[in-house]
Amino acid sequence: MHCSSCSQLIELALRKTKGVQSASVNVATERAHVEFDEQAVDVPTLEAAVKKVGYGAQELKAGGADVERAEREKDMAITKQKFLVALALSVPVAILSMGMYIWEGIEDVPYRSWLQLILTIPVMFWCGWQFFTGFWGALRARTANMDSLIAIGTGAAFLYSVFVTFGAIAGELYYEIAAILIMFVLLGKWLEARAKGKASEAIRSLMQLQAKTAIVVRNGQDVEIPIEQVVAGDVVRVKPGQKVPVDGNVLDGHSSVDESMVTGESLPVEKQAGDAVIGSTINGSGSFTFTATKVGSETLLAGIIKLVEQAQASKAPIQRFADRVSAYFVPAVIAISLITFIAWYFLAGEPFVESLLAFVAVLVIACPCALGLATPTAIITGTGLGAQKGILIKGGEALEAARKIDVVVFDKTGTLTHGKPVVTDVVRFSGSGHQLVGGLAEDDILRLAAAVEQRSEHPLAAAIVNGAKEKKLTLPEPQDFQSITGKGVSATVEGKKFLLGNRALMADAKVSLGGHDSNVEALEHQGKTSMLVAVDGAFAGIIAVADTVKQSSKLAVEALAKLGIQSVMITGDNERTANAIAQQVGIQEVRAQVLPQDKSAAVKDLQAQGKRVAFVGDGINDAPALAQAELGIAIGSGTDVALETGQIVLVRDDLMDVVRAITLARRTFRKIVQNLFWALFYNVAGIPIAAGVFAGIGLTLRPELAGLAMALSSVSVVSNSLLLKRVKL
Amino acid sequence: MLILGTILILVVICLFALWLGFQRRQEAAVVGASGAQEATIIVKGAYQPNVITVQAGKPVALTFDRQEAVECSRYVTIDGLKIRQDLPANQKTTIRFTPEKPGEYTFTCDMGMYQGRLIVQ
Repeated sequence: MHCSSCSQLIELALRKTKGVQSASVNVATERAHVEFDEQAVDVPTLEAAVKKVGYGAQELKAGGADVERAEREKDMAITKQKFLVALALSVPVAILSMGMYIWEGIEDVPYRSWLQLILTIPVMFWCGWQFFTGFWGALRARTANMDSLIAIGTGAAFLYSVFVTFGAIAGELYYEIAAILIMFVLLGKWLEARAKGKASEAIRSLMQLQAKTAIVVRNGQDVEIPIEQVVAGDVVRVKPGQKVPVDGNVLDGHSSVDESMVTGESLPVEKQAGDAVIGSTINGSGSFTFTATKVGSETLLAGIIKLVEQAQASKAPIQRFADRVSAYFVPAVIAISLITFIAWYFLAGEPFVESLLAFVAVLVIACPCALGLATPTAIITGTGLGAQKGILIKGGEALEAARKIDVVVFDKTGTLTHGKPVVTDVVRFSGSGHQLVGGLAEDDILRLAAAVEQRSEHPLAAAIVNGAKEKKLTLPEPQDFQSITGKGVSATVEGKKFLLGNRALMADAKVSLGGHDSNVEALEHQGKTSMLVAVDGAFAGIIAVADTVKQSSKLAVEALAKLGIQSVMITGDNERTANAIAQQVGIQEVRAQVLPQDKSAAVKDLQAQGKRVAFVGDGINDAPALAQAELGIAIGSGTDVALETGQIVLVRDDLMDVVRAITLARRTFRKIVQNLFWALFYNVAGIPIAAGVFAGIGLTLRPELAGLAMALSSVSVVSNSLLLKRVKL
Repeated sequence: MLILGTILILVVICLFALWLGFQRRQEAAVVGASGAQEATIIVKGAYQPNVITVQAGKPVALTFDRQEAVECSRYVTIDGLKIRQDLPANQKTTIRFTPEKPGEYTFTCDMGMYQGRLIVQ
């Protein structure tokens, strides 16, 4: 759309479509608001109508998170309302029923039993109606559920009291049991829904990170468009303080960007031309343009959200046990409650009312909910917390695996090290029989070497060129460039004949190292590759190039050792280089000269020794090893992260996240075990007490208190899971 | 009284055993107009039917017809297929996927109270 005539044309086209009641198009936001009869016309037809007049249209989907949240809040508001009504009505019922213990005059209230009945009816059949419909639905499916327990329990107390009220049987009234039970269960449900909402906050906050609009440069002008319309290749402008709308590469300008919400990196990251930017991160005070590379569902954030959603859809293997228990739980409880009644009434000869109360207490104390909530709430809280820190745990199985790990195997290149060789040393030689070559300083050696190497395509050449560029050295043009395969390069620079390469190249050119062999060896011993430099036939110096160790590597190895986990390094490098790196990071066990395809065999080898292995790699060329290990941890950096490999994905290039991930996984798993234990213990202890097994020692439970215990048990499980949020990572 | 009580307890135990035997309710999915194997499960107090049989390697469209609004049944999770779906109250929600590996997959609500099985042959 270019102008208001376009919007009018689209409006007209939409209004003419059969079934459309009204249509308005906003040229600035490029949004159409259409009211239509769903029976007569659908969204694709509307899209086609817009297309027919020469424009495009697509349905603007409401954010899943917003819809979900709105629905949850609506549910919670209804439950809260029902609870408050139940509270308001059950308190007078309780006073009418038991108030005589405080004020005897209560007994003289006229129509006391009828008043209680009238007050209890709305509690049962409005506040608690959902339990009866749930019970009925389960009954039709020939099964029973939580609602069955509450419906039978409260129904029994209510019906008995109704019979007494109508004079069909003689006895006491128990309306207050029915009313208070429903009030407590609703309170429990309300608190539980609140806590569950908190547990799933993490993914919602990830979804809300998404920018709504983007400024794209079209025909030389800035146009603000909805994010859904940004396509790959668009040039997007980001102003100070704005969100980066989609993933891409910086074209022009520079700024620092806060990426903490996606990667967990707490410090702002500097961005300039060529750097990758991540959608939904927040720009600092600079301004830049970038080319959109990934949009919509392809962005890193969308990938992370999908991954977390999938993780939250997974179950820990331990949960299957809980599920099996749950499947038989409710029918078993109903059977136990019946047996309780029969045992008290028929076998022990207790009065009918006492037996009935024990029956109701057993029904309402049983809480399969706590058992069912034990795992999902912990997984949702744990994975959500991880996602906010750039640690993506893919599900329950990863949690269980992390618990048992005793060895972490690190891939060297790109994992422990940066994976890019850089210039580490420039050594200049003079004297000792050799003339100082033209008075060359270290920077000169690097500058001239880089001048020669800018023509070479060898990976080490790039390191030297970058090294010179970092020092802002200006490179002269080389002449007579020659590449000598397997040995090095030669060229003439600034009138000097330059040789750069290994010992073989020097030997061929009859350049003597003049006793500097030991310097070369010392560098090689440190795992560095030495490039020898000769100028005009004389040995002039050494440029050492090496892959450097990440700052976090040593810290991570130390922290793992504190957790009782051994670190192993695996690499394709020779033993000398491998040992040098291992020494720097503090790793004792090294597997050197392992070809990429043999890495998984090395993992298998460790497993054969009875070790439970986690493998940490970049996820690109070590996917088989990641899959072979008990726990595969893929580590990436921002948009390059391989989200699909590994069971745990670390978005940030920080090896301490390996430690954090294992800690978080272990803590989450511990929560699951705690929850399951308490839920089981609660039921195993609570049901016999309610059944009156310990009546001999005076330990019995009124049904109302049993109901309160039930309501609080699921709330306590969810609250325990929420404590995970306090884990310091 | 004692004899009557004992008999009644035995009756309860027998009923429980009978329930264990009868609770399985199987329904094979039918290939529908879309070419997918389709089945509809009513979500009301339980999943009904609660056992669905499908063929491996062919698309499946499971429609959950949630006829209630209680929080418990709001999500359905299919274990092993990494599916967790929000089922809006009183609406039909269709989940589409293609199970590759034969086997038994349980689907449950968040608390494991509603349970069903997807048998992939």
